[in-house]
Amino acid sequence: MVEPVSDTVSLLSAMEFPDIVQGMSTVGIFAVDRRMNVLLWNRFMEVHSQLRAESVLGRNLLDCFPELNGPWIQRKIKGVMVLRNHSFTSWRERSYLLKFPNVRSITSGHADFMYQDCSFWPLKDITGQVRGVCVSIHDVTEMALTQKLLEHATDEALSLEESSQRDSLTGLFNRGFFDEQISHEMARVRRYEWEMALIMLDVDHFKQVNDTYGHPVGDKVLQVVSTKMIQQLRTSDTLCRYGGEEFSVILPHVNREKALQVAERLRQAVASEEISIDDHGHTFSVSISIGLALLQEGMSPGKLIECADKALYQAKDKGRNRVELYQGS
Amino acid sequence: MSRLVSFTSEELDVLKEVTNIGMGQAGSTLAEVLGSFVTLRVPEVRMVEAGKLQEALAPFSQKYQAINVVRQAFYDGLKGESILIFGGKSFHSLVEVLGYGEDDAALRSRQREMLMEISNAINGTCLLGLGEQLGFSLQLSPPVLAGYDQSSADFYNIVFGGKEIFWQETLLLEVQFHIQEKDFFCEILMFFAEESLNRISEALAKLLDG
Repeated sequence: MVEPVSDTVSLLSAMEFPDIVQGMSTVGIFAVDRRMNVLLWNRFMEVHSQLRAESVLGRNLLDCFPELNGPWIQRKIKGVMVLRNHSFTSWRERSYLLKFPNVRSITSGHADFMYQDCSFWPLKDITGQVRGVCVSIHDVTEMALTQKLLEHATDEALSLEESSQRDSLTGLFNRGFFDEQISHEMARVRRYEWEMALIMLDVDHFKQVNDTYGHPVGDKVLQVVSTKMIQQLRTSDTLCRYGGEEFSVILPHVNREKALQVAERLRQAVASEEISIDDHGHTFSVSISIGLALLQEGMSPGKLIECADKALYQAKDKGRNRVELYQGS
Repeated sequence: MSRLVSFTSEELDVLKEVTNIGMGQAGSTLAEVLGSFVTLRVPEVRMVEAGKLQEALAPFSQKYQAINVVRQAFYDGLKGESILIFGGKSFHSLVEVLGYGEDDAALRSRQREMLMEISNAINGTCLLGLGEQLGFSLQLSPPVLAGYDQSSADFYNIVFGGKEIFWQETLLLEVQFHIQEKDFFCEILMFFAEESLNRISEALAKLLDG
């Protein structure tokens, strides 16, 4: 056993921890000095670490628990000592401070360690000087596992709901979702007095693609187009597969200039993509026509869609592979 | 709690001054722990009525695209809640400052932990510093991550979560925290509960007389 440094020795002899702390087996309490040498190791700590107090007192905590992240815990301890402040860790972010076995050894499935919530606070001597840090460890395994179970069940329920909102080929949101979402987004932007734009677009000459290369390639085109477009959009934008080769994009919180930029980016991204037909390196590319409409005061969702559709029709009329903005009444 | 506490503009000035002194001290303590020069500013101290709360919080929704929010309550002496807003996506600045490894920067759980850690450090020093100036001690609750990488438009909901406001007014301290050399910036909104307002008022009166 390595001999503890002399001021640790003096701390060890000077500090008297009440038996009630020492003997407590329901909450872990330990203390370290500024060098991370252990000053206190209560019953809970002994039982769960399988290390008796005598074998740990005066030793460096990092020697006893080599898996501990040294720089992290040293900085945390230093923080408490200098700031003279409580600090915490939560099982949600850090499952445990020290890896102890789970007490539920039969029924708990694969939780093979104890989940822990910890508090850190300054350890002062009788003159009020901070000599070290006290740490409490709470076994929150029961709560953590229940919480995780609840979250898992919620996730499952959500993904079930989600799958009814999704288009299976492209993974994008489907028409049903779009019809609901557009109303929600409109209400939201109106509440915050933001602007909003709607894009209706479709793949040019799609019927020809299917006729020339077959439906599997046609499907692939839709997938590629979807992927290229998603990459250009923000998480707050909603991209949906509106119909066969038709897509819609809801752009909340954009002005006219921004909306045009986004539309042009979409057009560019699709037009510049080479889609491979087979394994022999044969490729081709497609283009999209885009109709853009800006939300005006008093507009209903139906009216906004109608305007974007009219703009899309114009884009087709003017030669395709272009962006048209709906103008006028 | 029937009487509305109103602070005179003189009292609010003193409060702002006293807070800045507290912040100055907090700044040097934090600098010692974080190993970098820290700037703490209090641009605004004001009373906010419950009805005007959404309006008061709106600027923060507009400032950022995506935000992270940490909530921390304090009590015993001075009572209230502190809301930390970090509008960045880059956690690299925090990584060094808080002694985490580069690999940790990408892990969501570490990012969340860093947010709570910086919240705890700032709240601890600032509130303790302010308390000291006014003659109060206080306790901090563990920090709670209220929002992680969420749309700033949801800021009000993230903080108040559709719950009713059952108080009439609050004292709001806006604090800005900046570590220039690490390019880290965040804001803290400190709300003081009605039951603490009288105590603050009395402490300020004493300072003005004394």
